[in-house]
Amino acid sequence: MKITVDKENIVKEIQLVQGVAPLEGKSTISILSNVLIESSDDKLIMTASDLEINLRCEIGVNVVEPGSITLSAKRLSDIIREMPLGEITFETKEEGNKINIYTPTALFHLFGQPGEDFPQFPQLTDSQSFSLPASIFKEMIRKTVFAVSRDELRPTLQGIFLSLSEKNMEMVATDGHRLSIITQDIDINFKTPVKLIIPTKAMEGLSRILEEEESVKVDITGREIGFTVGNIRLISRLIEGEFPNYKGFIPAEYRTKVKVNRDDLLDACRRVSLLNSTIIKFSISKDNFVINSIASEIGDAREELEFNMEGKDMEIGFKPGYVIDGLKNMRGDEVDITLVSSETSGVITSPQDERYTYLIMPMRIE
Amino acid sequence: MSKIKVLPTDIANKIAAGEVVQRPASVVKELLENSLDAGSSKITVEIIGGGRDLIRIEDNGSGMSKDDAILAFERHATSKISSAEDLDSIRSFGFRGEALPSIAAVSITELVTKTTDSISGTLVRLEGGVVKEVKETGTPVGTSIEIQRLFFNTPARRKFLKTVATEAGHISNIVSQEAIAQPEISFKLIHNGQIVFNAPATKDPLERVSSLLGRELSQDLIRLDFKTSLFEVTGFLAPPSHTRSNRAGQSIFVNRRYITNRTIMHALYAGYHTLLPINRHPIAVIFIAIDPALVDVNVHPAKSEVRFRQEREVHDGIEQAVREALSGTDLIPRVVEAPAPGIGEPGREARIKGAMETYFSRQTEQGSRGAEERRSRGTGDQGPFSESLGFSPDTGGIPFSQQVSMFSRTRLYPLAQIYNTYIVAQDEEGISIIDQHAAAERVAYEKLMKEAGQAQVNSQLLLIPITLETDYAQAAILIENRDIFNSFGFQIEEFGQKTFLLRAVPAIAEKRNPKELIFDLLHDLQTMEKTKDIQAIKEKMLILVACHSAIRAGDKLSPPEIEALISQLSQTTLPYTCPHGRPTVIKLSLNELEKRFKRIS
Repeated sequence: MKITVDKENIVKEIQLVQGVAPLEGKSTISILSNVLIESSDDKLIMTASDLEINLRCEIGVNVVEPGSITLSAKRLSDIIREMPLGEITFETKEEGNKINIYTPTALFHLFGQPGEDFPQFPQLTDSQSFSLPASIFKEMIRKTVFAVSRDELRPTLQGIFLSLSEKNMEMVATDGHRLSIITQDIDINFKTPVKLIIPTKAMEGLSRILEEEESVKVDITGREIGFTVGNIRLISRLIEGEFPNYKGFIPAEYRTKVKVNRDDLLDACRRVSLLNSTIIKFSISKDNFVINSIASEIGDAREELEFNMEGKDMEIGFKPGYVIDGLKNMRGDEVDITLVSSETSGVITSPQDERYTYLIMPMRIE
Repeated sequence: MSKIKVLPTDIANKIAAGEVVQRPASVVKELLENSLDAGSSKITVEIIGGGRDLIRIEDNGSGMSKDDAILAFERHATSKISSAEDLDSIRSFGFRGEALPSIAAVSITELVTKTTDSISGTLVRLEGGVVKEVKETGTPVGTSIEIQRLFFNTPARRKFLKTVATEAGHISNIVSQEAIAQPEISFKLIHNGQIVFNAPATKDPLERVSSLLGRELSQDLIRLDFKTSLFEVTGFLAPPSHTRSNRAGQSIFVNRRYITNRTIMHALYAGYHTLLPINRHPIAVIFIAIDPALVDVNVHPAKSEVRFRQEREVHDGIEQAVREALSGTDLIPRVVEAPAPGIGEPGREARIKGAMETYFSRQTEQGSRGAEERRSRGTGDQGPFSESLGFSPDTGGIPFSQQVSMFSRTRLYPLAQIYNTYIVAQDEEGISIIDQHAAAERVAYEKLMKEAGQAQVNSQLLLIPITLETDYAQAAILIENRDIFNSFGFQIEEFGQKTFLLRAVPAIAEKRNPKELIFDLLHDLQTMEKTKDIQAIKEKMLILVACHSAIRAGDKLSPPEIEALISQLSQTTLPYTCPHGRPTVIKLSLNELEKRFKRIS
């Protein structure tokens, strides 16, 4: 293999690819810490995989001689990043076991492993496909991904749930304490509705490759999902199992409804939680809306907010981090908080972000 | 007259009883083995009051003739071996001929038995080992033995028995173990008139295992199937994502006898090498089939230990069996490979590697990364950290003046985190090495104590309740102590016989896996002395909750986190040990350093 490529055309791509490869020693299959580099037909193809997520990136280059090799992803990415601006040449020696990476002034002589040993990039057959503006997808990921569970024993909560029907797309994430739902109108010709769970790591990786102006093509099979954005393709396995029936978690009616400025509420929660990051209490009555926190032997804090309300008085405790997460990811100046009781989930919505629903289970105050 | 006398039989039997019969569960074990050796296909165990008031075991085995039924209560009377050579290749469960007389010596015993070829059955009744009644009676083929008022004549022993729930738990564990080993025999256990479990005969060992260990776990079990020239290993292993804080999830059977054996245990852990988080134990059911001539079961009166003639070969074979079963299974797609930060503890090697990577990557990055990380996490868990890490004068009254003044009034500067486990810090007097987990535990423990004292417990309600599948013993303990659990911020509801729903978790333990926490608590309660001391139980819970919510060894800490930990530790009342009593800090004084480098003498 011998190719030449401008540093600017490869430096960002190699970092994206490297993000998928497990660090050395983290995987039982050591070759996965490498990135596969292949060249043919004026293209350089870089592939990384942790067997769950596979990422592949094609770049137009000047191919002098086709071939392949695998190299430590971390090391290659570090080297390319530090190379001087301009052209970089990759030239393999000894049947793909060694490679020279050089510029007119710098030379790296590296040992690698043959490309044939690297796992094959999956091919999706019998897939259903649709396309969507990348910006929409990116926002949907941002609004859900923070709420996924980190609990290894509940694998189905460790991903984002994606539900697709002909006219509607919905993404949901929950860690059992709060729940984030975002919907989007679409127009696709799927024969039957599709429900699947995508691993968090794949969604985070996808979010990084989504560029605002592009569109993303999504391919779905029974076991995998593929995303194509420009010259990059990401294929992830799906998480098997049943996602909880979240629709049932959303209270059908409310007893208290508060309208409040989003920024004011966000700032108040941040301030009041300085003394107690475990629980803050919302006290809502006709006369005032107070958020307070108590820290034993340290002191207490309270803040009053301008508000509008309907319904009954209410006292309810929340983990401040959960409230802040939702408010941060919501659009609009105003939010509505609807409550049923101090032991039932509270719902935050925004009239200016009506496709987004955020639900938090309260903290019990005793 | 000679002072040394041969002891009368009844005293000898009482002494033997002390070895063989330690608690109701050991009676059940011995009697079950008799039933199994009699070739029964159906065994019913009924107990009342945790086996203290009554144990009745009924089987449909071969039964005994009248003469045998009486002789069975003589010491070292057994049908199972007849010569010393037989001892070298024991195929039956019992053989010592000790169990029945020992049990009879400390209880009121009634045996009813009949063989196929006799017309009527025999009833033998003993009190404290003395035969009170022998008569003919009508009964189906098989043996039914009833043990009443165990230890009625040894009050000291009776006093040592634990709560009904605990004793019943031990019994149900014994019966479960036998049931796992003998899936083709039907087992039923009844406690206080209620069916605890009913395991009908089955050909598939997995079905038996899953009915006893819980369906949820069984789905993920990996089958073990391995043969060497010496022996055969079968059974089931849980993948490394399911572990316990103790060895209770491990059952080892040699020729279907439930045993404990260091060699096998060691081989099991060796097979899991590097896959297990620190201080976690695998769940495994292992059956070893080996020529009886190569095993010595006559090591321990309760026959719970065995010795192998070829220890080394057995060890290596089992290690290989476990490793192959685990590596033949695709562990990666279950998201086990990359545990979410802060949940699993990677193996030591991975920890050191990770630390090295961190260390070297830090050289090229700015020191502000930690602060950035904290900001990006939203609120950050602590408030702003105090500038000074030394003692403020008003908290200086620590009752540890006689100790090396670790938390001296001078400022302690953190230098580095090493192996993602220890923090190295210096002050004017020397170097301090802090165990981050122990230190964080101490901080969390004192915080909890404070909260508990104020009766203010924060508890996070769950959107999706977590299902807890326990075994019978755990279920009993959970029900008994549910109020205490709930007073800690759990909310536990019964949901079937040994299934519970967890609807809320203590806020402080929220970051850790709540299931794991509950099972660890249950295990601690199981091993506690018979006590209704709520304070003691609470203390146990506090220590565990503190342990679970604290930073662990292997967690990478950012510089502000390190500073916060040192500052919080300095504010605790007992900064020098963790709640379990391990030290939090080791100090190397400058003086000692200089001595070692021979700068001073």
